[in-house]
This record gives sequence, C-alpha cells and structure tokens, in this order.
Amino acid sequence: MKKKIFPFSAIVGQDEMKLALILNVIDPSIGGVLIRGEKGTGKSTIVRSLADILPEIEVVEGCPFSCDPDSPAELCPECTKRLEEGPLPRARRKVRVVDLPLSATEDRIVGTLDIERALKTGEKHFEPGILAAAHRGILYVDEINLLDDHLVDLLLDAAAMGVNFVEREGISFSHPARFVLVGTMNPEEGELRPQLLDRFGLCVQVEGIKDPKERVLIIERRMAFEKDPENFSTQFAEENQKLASRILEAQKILNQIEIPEDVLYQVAKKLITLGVDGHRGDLTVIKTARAHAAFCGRETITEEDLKVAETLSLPHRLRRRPFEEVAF
Amino acid sequence: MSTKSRKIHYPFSAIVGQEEARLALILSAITREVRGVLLSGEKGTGKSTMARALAALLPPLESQKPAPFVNLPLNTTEDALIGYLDLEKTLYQRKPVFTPGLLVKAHQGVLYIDEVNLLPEHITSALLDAAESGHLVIEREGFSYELPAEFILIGSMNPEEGALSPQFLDRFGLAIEVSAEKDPELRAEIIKRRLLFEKDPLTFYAQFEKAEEDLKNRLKQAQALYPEVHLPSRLKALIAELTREALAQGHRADLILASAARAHAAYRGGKEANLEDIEAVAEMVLRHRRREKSPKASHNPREKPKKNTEQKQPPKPEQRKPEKQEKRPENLKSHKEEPSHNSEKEPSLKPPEEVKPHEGQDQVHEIGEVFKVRPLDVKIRYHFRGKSGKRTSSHGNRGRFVKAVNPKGRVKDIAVSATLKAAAPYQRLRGAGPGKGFIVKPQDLREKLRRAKTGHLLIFCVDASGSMAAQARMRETKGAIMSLLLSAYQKRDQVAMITFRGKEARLVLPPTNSVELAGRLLRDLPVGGSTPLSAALALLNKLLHQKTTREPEKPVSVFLITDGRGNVSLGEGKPQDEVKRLAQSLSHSFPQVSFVVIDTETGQVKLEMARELAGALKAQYFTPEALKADRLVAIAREILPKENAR
Repeated sequence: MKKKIFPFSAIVGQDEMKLALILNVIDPSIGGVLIRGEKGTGKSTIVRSLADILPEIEVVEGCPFSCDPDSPAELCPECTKRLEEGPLPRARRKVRVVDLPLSATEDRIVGTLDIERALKTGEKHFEPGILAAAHRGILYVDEINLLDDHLVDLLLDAAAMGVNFVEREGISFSHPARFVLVGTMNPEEGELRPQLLDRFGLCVQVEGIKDPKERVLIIERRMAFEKDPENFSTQFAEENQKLASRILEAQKILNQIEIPEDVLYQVAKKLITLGVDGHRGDLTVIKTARAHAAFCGRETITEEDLKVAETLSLPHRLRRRPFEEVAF
Repeated sequence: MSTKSRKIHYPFSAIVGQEEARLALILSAITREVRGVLLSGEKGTGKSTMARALAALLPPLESQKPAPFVNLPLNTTEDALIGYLDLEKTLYQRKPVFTPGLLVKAHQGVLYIDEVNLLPEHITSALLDAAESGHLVIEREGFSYELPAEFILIGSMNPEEGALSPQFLDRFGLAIEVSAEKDPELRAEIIKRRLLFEKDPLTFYAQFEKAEEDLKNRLKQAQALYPEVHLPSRLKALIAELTREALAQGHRADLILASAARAHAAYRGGKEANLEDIEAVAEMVLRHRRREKSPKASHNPREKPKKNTEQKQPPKPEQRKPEKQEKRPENLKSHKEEPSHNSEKEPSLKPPEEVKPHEGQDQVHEIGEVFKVRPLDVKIRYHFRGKSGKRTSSHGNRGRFVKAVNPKGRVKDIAVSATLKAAAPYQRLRGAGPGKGFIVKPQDLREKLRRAKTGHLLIFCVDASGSMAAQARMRETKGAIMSLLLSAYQKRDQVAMITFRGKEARLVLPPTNSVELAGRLLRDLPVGGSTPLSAALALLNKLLHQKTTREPEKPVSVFLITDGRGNVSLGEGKPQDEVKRLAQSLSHSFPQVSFVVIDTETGQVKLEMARELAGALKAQYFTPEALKADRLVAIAREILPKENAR
C-alpha cells in the first residue's frame, strides 16, 4: 500500500525552504539543506512531499546500493565484478527520500553482516544499511541536533568521503554513499556540531506563517487532504507535474550555464569581507546561483541568482563566536 | 565514457596557493624520517584534497598498483585499524585466518586522518606505535605477527574543536597552519578550477598531466638523492641552537629539522643542505613544539599550532605570575599570564571579529586565578578511576565494542570471533568435518561488551546579573568555574553553561566536550542587569529533561552559582515564590541529578536567599569561601563519589 503524501504544490508559503530543496534536487552537489525552525512549521511535511516531484535516475538493476551505470569509477564491489562480465543491466526509478530515525543503531546505518547466514553457510553476506539506501538520494534526519555523537561521526565520514566504509569485526566492505543531507532542527533544543553544520550547503530558517488568510488556507487544505487524499492529490497533480518537469529541464541545462569570471571574483571578494571560513562557502554560493539560474531557465548567472544564493548559503557560515546562535 | 575504473583525483599541481602546506607534504613524501604532516586550520581549505593529491604523486607499489591512500574514518574500531579474524576464510579453511587492518593497507602510501583531534584515544595510541616504528606488531586473538606499515601520516584538524593530545602532536614531524586564500583573484581561481574539475575530471586532469609527471619525477629524484645529502656540522650546531631557543622538548625536533632540511635540499637537487634549507623548514618543525619561556613551564606543550601566532607577543614580564606546575590547556595558561587588565584593554587581545559591543553598563571580568587545580584534579581522578568501568560500560548495543564476554540472557550482539574461538576446540568432538560446516553450540556464544561515550555532564548555571559585578566577585567566580572546567577537560566530561541576566536565561554553551570553548566563552561573559533566576531554572528544567531522556545513564551535576536574589519572574507571581516553586519541582523531577549551589552573596547584610534556594533544590550549599581551592576539593569529594555509586 502506498502511503499518501501531501502534494508539494499544495503547501502554502515557506517558499525559501521549498526553493532550497528544489535547488538541491537540481544539483545534489550543493550539499543539502539544514532547516531550522520551531515545531509544527511543516518542515517534515515539505521534505516528505518532495518525493512526488523528484526526477528519475538510472540505476544498475538489482543493485542494493543503486549504483550509477554511467560512472564506473563509483561502483560497489558487486557491480564492479558484474561490469567485467559485460554491460550492466539498467533500470529507472525515482530518487528516494530515506529517513534516518534518531533511534537508529550504528549497524542499521552503515549496514551489517548477516550473522545467521554466515554461520550456517559460511558465506559473508552484507546487509546494506540506511546509507546504502540513501545513495544518490536524499537522506532526511529529523531533529538532527539530537542525533547521538557516534552516529553523527558516521554521517560525517560518509558525507566527507562519499563512501561508506564498514570496517568492523569480521567485515570490511565499502560502497558509494553520496546523498543530499536534509536535516531539520529546533534551535531551542541545542545547536549542531560545527563540523556537521559546515557539511550543509544551504540553511533556511522557517517560521509559522503569520498571515491569517494563509493560515486558514493551510487548515482547509490539510482537512481536505485528510478527508480524501486521493482526490486532493489529483487536484494538484498537474501543478506537481509542471514543477517536476521544470526541475528536469533545469538539470539538463545546468552544465551549460555560463559563470562569468567577474562573478567568481565578486563572490570571492564578498566572502573574504564577510570572513567566511574556507572555500566551501564560495563554491556553494556559485553552485546555488547556477542551479537557481537553471531553475529560472537562464543561460547565465545574474545578480538575482547570486542574491538568492547568498541568502540561502551564508547564514550558517558567517563567522561567529563559538556556540553563538546562528545569525539571521 | 571510458571504463577506466580508477577515480580521478584533483591533481596536486592544480592546487592554488597553500605553498607552505604543499612544500611540507612534498618533504614528507621524500623521506619518512620527516614523520608526517599535521594540517591545522579552518574547514573547507582543501586539506583532504591536498593529502589525497599527494598519494597520487607517490611511486606505484611493486605490484604496480597505485600507492594506497587510506582515509581513516572517525568511527574506526581497533579491529579495523590493526586487523581482525576473517570470518569467511576462517569458516572455509577451518583455521583462523587473520586479515590485516588499515595500518597495513596504508603501507607505502598515505594514511590520512581527518579531524585527528576527535579520534578516540585507544585508536590514537595504536596508530602512534605503528607510525613511529614503521611496522605493526600484532598480538591479539591468538595471532602473533609483525607486518610492515610504513606510511606517510597526514592529519588534519580544526583547532576550534579542541586540542590534540601533546604526545600525538609531537609525533607529527611538521605542522602547518592552513587558512583560506585572502586574495579575491586567487580565490576566484580556486572556485573556477574546482568547477571545471567537477564538470569534467578527465579533461581537467589532462591539462595538468605534464605538470604532474614533472612533479612525480622530481619527487622520485629527490627520494633517490636524499640519503646522500650532507648536513655540514656548522648547520647541525645551528639546528641545536634553534631547537634550544624554541625550548622544544627532547631530541625529536632536532632530528626532524635535520631530516626536513636535507629533504628540502634534495628537492632542489642539492647534495649539501644550506642555510636556506633550514630557514625554509624551521617554522614547520618548531611551530607545534615551541614552548613559553618560564622556569617551570608545563611539561605538556599542549598549544595547538594556531595558538602560537597569538603567543608571539608574550605578556610583559612584570605582569607574569610565577607559573604553577599543572597540566592544563594552553588557553587557560595564557589567561593567567595576562592578569588584571581592564575591560577596555580586553578587545585588543582578541581577533577583531570576535569583539562584540557590550551593552550599557555591562562589564567583562577577567577570569580570576585558577587556583589549585591539582589537588582537586587528583581527588576526582582517584574517585573516578576505581569505578570508571562501571560508569561507562553497558550491554546495550550503543557505543564501541570493548571486549567479548559470556552473555547474560538472550544474546543480541554476537562477538563473532570470540564465539568461533570458543567453539573451535570442540569441532572434532562434535563431528565437524569437510562439508559439514562449523558447529557452534549455544554455550559457545559470546556477546559484545560495549562502552558508550557517556562520561559526566556538568551544567554550570551562572548568575551574570549586576549584583555579581560588585567587587571582584565575578572574577573569583570565573576562576572557580574554570577550575571545575579543567578537571572536566581532563576526564573528557561534557560541560554545558547557562547564564542569566537582564530579562532572560540563555544556554550559552550546549553540552560539549570542548572545554576550551567554554573557557573562551567564560572569559567574555558580560555582567549586568537584573536577575532572572526563574528563567534560568526553567531553562535548566528543559535541558535536564532533554539530556536525561536521551542519555538516562549519564550522570549529571548542576552547579548553580548565584546570590539567589531573583528579581524577575516569568509569570505574575512574586519572583522569589516562583524560584522556590521551580526549584522544588526540579529537585522532584530529577532525583538522579546532583545539585550544588555556590552562594556568591557578600557584604554586611545577608539575605541568605541562595541558602533557601539550596534547601528547595535539596542541593549542597557552599559559601564564597568554598570558592577557594582547598574547599573545592572538599566539594568534589562530597559530590563525586555519590554519583559514582549510582
């Protein structure tokens, strides 16, 4: 049975968060989104509803790690073996949103050895974990600031290397694990570790919507959805479809977008002035601007794209005293 | 697309800027006698990229495979690092088969550790032994091997996350401070190259192929030349002079400086090292080994490389107090050495971007003398050591695998190798043989004992209201907190800090292991305004609720440092009534938490409100005199064993 998902286009307001997510779908190398905000502002709903508008990707058929048949440098051991025997069978499926619950154990995240099978048959069989499922998709961590430190370490390792290394007793296994990390957090419950914060490409702050009319609309839509999800979804199907094809279009032209030299210079200069750590910020601003230009169907990066990119990618990178709250 | 299965890495010669770091990496590749490089600096400055690119420059192995690049994940286990029983082969071949771990895999290549300062200590020590000796001695699980493990150790760290343990720091031959490029043109070039590389790695690599080949050849020649490079004796004397001046400990600095200078000479093709060679490498070698001049300087050069630049202007001699022989992070030492300057002078000591305009009459007080940590420290350690095992080990499946034990109840987390080993002697007896598999009976099962990183959580709830500004009270208070922070640091406990002043209470320091950050925060803590004690208690309630739900086994102590004169209420009621109610509810909701009230009230007329607060909290109560070191020992003695017993 398919779980009913609230349609993305039916979500009222929260444009910044929606945009940040869309830009990440267009260019996953932007590096994910951190969504900061109070409870009940639709953070989770939006992330889950993203599933509807996600594009399809080509995967190696039957591969538990969703290897990309077009990038032979990044295959799991099994697919590497299969490739030697001949071309890899292909299949198409939608990009996935994978949940990482706070209560997840280390084994479930990185994957584990099937001990029963190993003892019975003497075969080493690797049971893939959450990181395997999230490869080339979106890894969603609700309340990421409450995640246990040793689990954060796992995430950091995978996010930094794009590979999940499983080195535990009796097993040594690695497979590609590149994912768009989407995390939500309520800053009242504690801040994020700086290394993890830095791994997020974009950061948005969400608030409850103040406009009474819009609030009423939210309630109405929610009620309509709960009453008859199917009918409700049909109403927005067309709009969802439109958005999905716009994303697909943007993905196609992304690599052709021109980045003028002076834009690079301008960004570099600005970030030096702001005192942003390292070079990761520069790259994120440019990539976000590029994705935004693609989303708008433009051929070159404009002022507007840069402005949007800076708003989304700088708030959590501005130099601040340790543990000072992220400035907005 | 080609079927070339090797992933293309960003070429070394395409790296923009970072001259010093690149030179250091090259030197470490010329000879292992240089003993690796520590790259310290901000996030996202290309540290990993450089290390990876270096591995690609190394000559291929005998098997013609490229030189390995091993990236040590933070969640590495000792098994993964050293080696483990290979389950598959063991089961097939019916005899234990050992698979060497990452250290051996890194042989003749690069071992890269990102965030080396966050690596667990037992991993660090195993790593150090191999790095130093160039081979790995394995004595575990009934195996006894000695395997070659010669690798170039490259570590990276962000000093904001806490310091590296001194013995590990010293093992790195060279230390480099990496920072982001400040010239916009170069910075733009960096982004441009990165984007080009990501778009089409093959074409990008082709552009730099010539440069890479040249560099590889030059490296190879330098490696061959190195053993012949001569170091004139007058330069040996200079090296000795340099290391003596830097007060570097032991002889490692001398040896590494000599090797690095010779490697530098070899790199430029010279057969004799000269003065320029020494000049080029001296700072890399001495940066993390330089110590302050002082009669009884701490024998722990704990300073991180980054600190050094700030310390190049030592405090004026007349301001210096005699140094105590104590183990403590460097930043704390520097506080003490810059005593008694007023708050206007304060900002000049910090980098400009850290200056925060203080509101109105707020004042920032220096940290008072950090007194007599040592006795306190020793006592706490004494108490902790005895029971530390009980405190942190658990049979849950959280945390790191410590050892295999006989299971109690249903087995959830099988320790495979231990189980197999237990079953092994009985195989013939049980009729095992070819084609019949390995026979494991329930009595063979062994379970993993795991140790979660729990430690202790100390929550400091500090009154920063105007009344604390009186006299030197805040200074003294800061000193007391610092002393407690220090012992927390040494035991790897977590600390958190709530401050309250004006209208609100703030969690200025969420639970963290970085005591250094707590110290910095404490130093800059402004004082002024009214006393929202109720708000602080409410916030404390929330924090405790959060922590005890998430980690119920973690012992928590709350130090409430205030005069108890709460004068801002949350609701309608009188502030003092509210405080009392909140305090009672806190003590009722969290019976497992130990509360301590340190009363900072002074003066002729005492209202003794803090004492009332302590009563409501069922807290232990101490007067200002308790802030003195000898009394702190007493506090520690009274509080800590009680927690241990749980």
